[in-house]
Amino acid sequence: MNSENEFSIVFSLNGDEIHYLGDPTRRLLNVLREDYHLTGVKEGCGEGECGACAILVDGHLYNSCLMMPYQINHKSVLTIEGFRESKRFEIISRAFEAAGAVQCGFCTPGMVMATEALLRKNPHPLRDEIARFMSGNLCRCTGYDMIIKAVMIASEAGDGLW
Amino acid sequence: MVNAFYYPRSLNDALEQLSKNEILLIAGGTDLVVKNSHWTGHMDFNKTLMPLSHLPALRGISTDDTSVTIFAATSLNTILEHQSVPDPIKQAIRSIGSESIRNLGTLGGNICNASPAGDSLPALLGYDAVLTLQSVQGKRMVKLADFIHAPGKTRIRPDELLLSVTIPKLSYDRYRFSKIGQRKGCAISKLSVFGIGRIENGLISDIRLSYGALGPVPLRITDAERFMNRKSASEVLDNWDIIENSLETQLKPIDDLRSDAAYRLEVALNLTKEFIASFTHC
Repeated sequence: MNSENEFSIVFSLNGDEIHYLGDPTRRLLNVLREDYHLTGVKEGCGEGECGACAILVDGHLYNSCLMMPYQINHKSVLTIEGFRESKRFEIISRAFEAAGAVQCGFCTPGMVMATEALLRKNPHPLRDEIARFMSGNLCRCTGYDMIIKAVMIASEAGDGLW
Repeated sequence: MVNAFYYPRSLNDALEQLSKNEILLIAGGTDLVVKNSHWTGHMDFNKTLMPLSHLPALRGISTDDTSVTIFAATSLNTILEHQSVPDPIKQAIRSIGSESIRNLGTLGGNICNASPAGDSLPALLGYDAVLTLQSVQGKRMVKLADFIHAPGKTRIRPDELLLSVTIPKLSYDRYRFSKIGQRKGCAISKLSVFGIGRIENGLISDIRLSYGALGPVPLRITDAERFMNRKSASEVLDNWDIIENSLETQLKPIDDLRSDAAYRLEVALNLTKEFIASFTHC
């Protein structure tokens, strides 16, 4: 693992075991999009402020634009593409539709991953808890009310799933 | 061009490297990655990059009867989840970034980044935090108050890394961390004020006041603290011009893209006053 310009790691990506061998100082965001074509992971600000690149690592929320491959060595990475296959995604997806929480859609994958991370920690969050937890995900369309409502709908509709 | 990178297998391995080569240490990377990324997403580091966050010797929290020691690469969210970390410290850490930033960011990173606006720093200063620095030659302890001497500049030697941060278990009756940013969530501080203190026989006791983003380094105002101790809140408020004068001389706020000096100073004074007023109801 200590060659100066090649670096190898093993990690789980949406359930598949992956061996990465390459530049250790690439942003994880670029690795996911360019090497594995996971383009649901978006680049918004590239500074960790907007959450469009949000992924789950071992179930916790991370901004992939701030990370490098060594940080996921032997860890489990879930992107929107992997999460899409789950029952919980179905609940969250329906809730976002019902609340009108998707307009242009650019922030949506990150918002959905943040919703999943929140409900894992706190299956029945209050309005303020949702706003606080999601403060690292920006949306320039909805004004957030619909997104907060979507999380509340998902929390209720998915009762027992989280 | 590919950056030079060294992935240490252990703390000793990391210290060995530090003693021999010019190294840029990286913990969570929430500041360094942004600072060194081009708009294309390509990163350039001018020294060999050495990550630390995966080293077990740099992670975790230990506690005894009188103090809590937080190892430097412990993530901010891990600190928030630990029951031995005092609430006043947690309140400050909770104000940093967002959930995802706090999963990556570390306490050691917040300290060594030495930003005037580092949000853990006023609370740690109020707690008289002591840092343990380590090199191949051994360990040395430095007070946080002596560690940061200019924006982004610390007294760490090139062969050292920050091992841990130790804070005493203070007893207190009042505390407050007030952070003013452009918005409540995920914002860099325009300014911050931390206060903690006890009440003894109705009088203010052992009060500590510290300030973030109100000068080149986070600062404690000890002469104002001394003036307040063994006085009632109303007596301090009656002599507010003395406090005002002390803060106005020692705080050195600047105009920048986030705020301006006059606003910063005025709000710092108001927040300090509000904190002192909270001692009246006892």
